[in-house]
Amino acid sequence: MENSIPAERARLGWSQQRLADELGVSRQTVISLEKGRYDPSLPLAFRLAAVFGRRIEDLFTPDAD
Amino acid sequence: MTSPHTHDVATPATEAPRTTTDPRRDTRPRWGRSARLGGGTGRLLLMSLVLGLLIALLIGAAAYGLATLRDQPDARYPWIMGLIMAATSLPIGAGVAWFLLVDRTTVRGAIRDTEETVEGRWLEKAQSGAFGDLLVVIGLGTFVIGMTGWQPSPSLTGATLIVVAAASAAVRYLLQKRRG
Repeated sequence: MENSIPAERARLGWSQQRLADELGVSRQTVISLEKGRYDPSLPLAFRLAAVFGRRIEDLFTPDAD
Repeated sequence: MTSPHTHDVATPATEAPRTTTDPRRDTRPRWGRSARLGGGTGRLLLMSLVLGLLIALLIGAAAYGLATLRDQPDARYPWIMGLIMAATSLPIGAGVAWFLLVDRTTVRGAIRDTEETVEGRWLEKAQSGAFGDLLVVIGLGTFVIGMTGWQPSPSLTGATLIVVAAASAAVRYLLQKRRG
């Protein structure tokens, strides 16, 4: 699943550590999320949407297949 | 069409986080605190050591009692077994006591929602895979034992299975960590 987390994080000028602290997860989790190697749980997706002020569907795009 | 949570996320979070897992900025104590004990790290560590000592003494006494049941020519054998077991159990007992007493979120580097982390996902997958490996090893081992008539001791069998499960989980976790 593709996502716009790196762009949203850059928009706010946050580091990966800052985003991890806001979400209450590890920095490695943010790294894996941004690389698209880890699909977040629904509660974490909601928290991501909340910290960026976006909707979940604005952050995540399902794979084409 | 808008999603039902749209109104809840209208404003980005701007407050600074209360805690960080960044080791350079995390000011929480290395060993945490315990609200149940109503004190700081020192009281927590002291209580952990005291409880650990009690656990070690209990294990030592149990080892002494079991050793007296064995027919040994050396009369010092039960005492030696009890002392060795108590001494080796002390750090484990203190660790278990600390684990039970500490408020996890007060430990330096502790993550608030561990179940949401990628590390938690790696661990789940590693444990699940290790369970499958264990079933394969038990199945093959049972086949070999049945065919050869070899009868390993229960303690050796148990120790082998624990080592296989732990090694499998550790390797699987490290492989997933390497993949990112």
